[in-house]
Amino acid sequence: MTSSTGSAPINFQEKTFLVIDDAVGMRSSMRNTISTLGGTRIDMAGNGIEAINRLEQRAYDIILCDYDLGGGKDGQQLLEEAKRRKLIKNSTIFMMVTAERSYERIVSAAELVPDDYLIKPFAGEVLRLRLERLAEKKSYFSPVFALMDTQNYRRAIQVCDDLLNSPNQYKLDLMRLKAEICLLLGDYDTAGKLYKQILAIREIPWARMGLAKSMYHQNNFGDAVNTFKQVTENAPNYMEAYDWLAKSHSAAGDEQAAQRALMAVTEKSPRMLQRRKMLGETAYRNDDLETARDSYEAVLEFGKHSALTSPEDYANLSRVYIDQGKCDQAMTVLKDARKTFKNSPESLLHGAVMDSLAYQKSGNTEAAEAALKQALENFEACDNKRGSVSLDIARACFQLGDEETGKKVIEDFVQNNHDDRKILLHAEDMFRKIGMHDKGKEIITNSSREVIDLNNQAAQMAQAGDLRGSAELLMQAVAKHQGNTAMALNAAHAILTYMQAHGWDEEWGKSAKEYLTTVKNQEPDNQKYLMLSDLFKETAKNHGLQI
Amino acid sequence: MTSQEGKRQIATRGELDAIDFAALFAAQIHDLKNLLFLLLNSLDETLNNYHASSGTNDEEPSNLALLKYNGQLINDKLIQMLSLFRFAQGPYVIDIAYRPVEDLIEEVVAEAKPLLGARSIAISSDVETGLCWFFDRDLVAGVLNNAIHNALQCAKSEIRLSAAVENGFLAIRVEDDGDGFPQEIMENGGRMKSLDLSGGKTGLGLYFSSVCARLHTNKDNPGRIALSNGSSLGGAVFTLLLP
Repeated sequence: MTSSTGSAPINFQEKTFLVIDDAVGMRSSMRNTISTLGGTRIDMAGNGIEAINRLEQRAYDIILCDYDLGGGKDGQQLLEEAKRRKLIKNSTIFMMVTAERSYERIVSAAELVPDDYLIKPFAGEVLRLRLERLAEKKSYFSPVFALMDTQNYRRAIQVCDDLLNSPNQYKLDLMRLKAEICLLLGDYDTAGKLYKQILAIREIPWARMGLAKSMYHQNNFGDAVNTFKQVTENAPNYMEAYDWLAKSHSAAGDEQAAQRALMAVTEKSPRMLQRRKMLGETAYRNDDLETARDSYEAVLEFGKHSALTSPEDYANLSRVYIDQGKCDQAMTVLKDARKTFKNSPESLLHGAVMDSLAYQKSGNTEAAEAALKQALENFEACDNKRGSVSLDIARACFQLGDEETGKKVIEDFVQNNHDDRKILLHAEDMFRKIGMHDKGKEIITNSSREVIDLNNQAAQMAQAGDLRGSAELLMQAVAKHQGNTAMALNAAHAILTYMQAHGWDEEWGKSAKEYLTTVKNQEPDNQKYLMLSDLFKETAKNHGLQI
Repeated sequence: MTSQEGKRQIATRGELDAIDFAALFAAQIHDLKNLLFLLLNSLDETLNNYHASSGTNDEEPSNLALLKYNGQLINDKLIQMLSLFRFAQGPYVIDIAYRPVEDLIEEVVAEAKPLLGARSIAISSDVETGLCWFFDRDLVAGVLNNAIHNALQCAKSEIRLSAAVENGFLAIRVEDDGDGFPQEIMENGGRMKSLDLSGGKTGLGLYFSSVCARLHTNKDNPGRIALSNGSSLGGAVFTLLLP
């Protein structure tokens, strides 16, 4: 008989456990199993809400969660919420328990996965072995995850490389992790190569998926489409692949194909809000109002009991109703929005502008003008002008004959999002729908030209070796276009590049930090932000600063 | 009893036709597995109490071990039926990951240990440390559990598990010191035609095993099972070969 793999025994008595199961008998049975292992500090939760309450109160070492929690949330949704809200530490072991192995088909393709899953019935001894190995794996990877948590991605890659140098059972996990960090940092070439290496050994859906993502990010949309398609064929339950397939079709300019991909995935997982939203948007742009309405209705219906909807979702549905000439229904939706969000400033803003569009459509110009006036006041007072509300305001302005204001709103909108292809297409589409396609296109092009020229000029200066001038130009540009995240990131990048070559500058360092914080507050997952945040730390460290 | 009969009359053929029996059975098996988990757990509890009161860690009473063994056999069958049902419903995607073979064998042995006492059979394993391979953990564990339970029925005193890489395949063997497979099973075991529903034994376990093996196909190399006699222990050899 061989010795065990050498996982260190865990002192279960020291560990805190949370058992989540809707059946009382199952909970006491689990408690019994845990106490055979020596565990004594065991808490119980009978449903998702109770579990979240527990997690808010204390951090657990080991969580055993049944996948099927009766009504309400299932175990996977619970895991996702807990991870998103950071209620689970990196060191916590989260184990999903299920009576059936089909769960893993869901989970093997999910974006957020438990550390392991266990199929009932299982012996206490097997639970012990699994927990010991998981603890060992966690501690093996903990240096990498610690660096990732503090956004030291380059260092994290170095640690992966070090670990890969010695033979070990986690080789594939390490390669996968390294490739994922490369994708985060924008090193798509290295990521692509790593995935190809893995695929040469074995066809694995996540590796094929990663390869396709690296193609997408290198603007190789044709290959990306084919590769994502391959994933959906080999692993039909890999939901994320359909999203990316749609994105790639869209990027390649084929909106109809994008809609088909999204329709295929919403059929498979009808409850995913984000997908329904994407489908609604795409269908609306394709003038398929029926599908758009169904999707947006589903978003509101499914989102009812979660905090995942926003006033914008209500505005989206009302927009479709207005286009269909069903103005009363549109107004009812808006009334719901104000009620649901208790007259929050955002709901009042969306409500006013959509009211204006509805009145205008039904021929009540006077009411439409009054509502637009209200909307513009709310818009002025609103800090966060992201999303579709700018387009709705501009549309109301143009339709009611106030071209000047409409143009101004669009200009700001375009200049703040000049590098977001999708947003520019949405703007173009709005103009098409109100019969102003050519004129609209001209406004969009003119608005973005100034920003693009500025960026190009800065890039040319940097290429010619004038790093300082380039950074100064971009800093001025940021001051002028405050809401433009791409500009803020470019400025931060230019500053860091300059300081890397010429040494740290107190004032400039502060500015770069400020730009990065602004972006972080708006888009914490922005990839370029993550990359620059890493570069910031690296640059500071190279100049002997403690950050 | 009369009310039972009354119900039977009310349930017309039409009503029954409307039931999707495949889905119903799958859902019921799911529930049965939950119940079995509770059953096996209370059995464990009873065993613990027994150890606590007797103050020893001795072998458990053989009738309890037998209960456990039969519980495991029921679980084997439920897993096989449910898995085959899912395969048939398709498309079925297996969860292949690169894992230490040793961990798998260790778990399978841990599951089997409590069952051996009843029959005084020893189990041993031989796996190279650090050997990793691509496989679906739960499917392969299901196959090996089944092979071990078969071996338990035939073995006289010993079962041995081993794993090694042979010609680009991972070969996992379950050997015993029993009388070996009958000729008929050696010829047809694992094939569809070995599924004989009229006899007492269905051959479902071997069929399930060969389907699981085939699901582990890599670059046109299918996985397979092999049955032979004359093991190093003198009895039957069940081999699972994974590309």
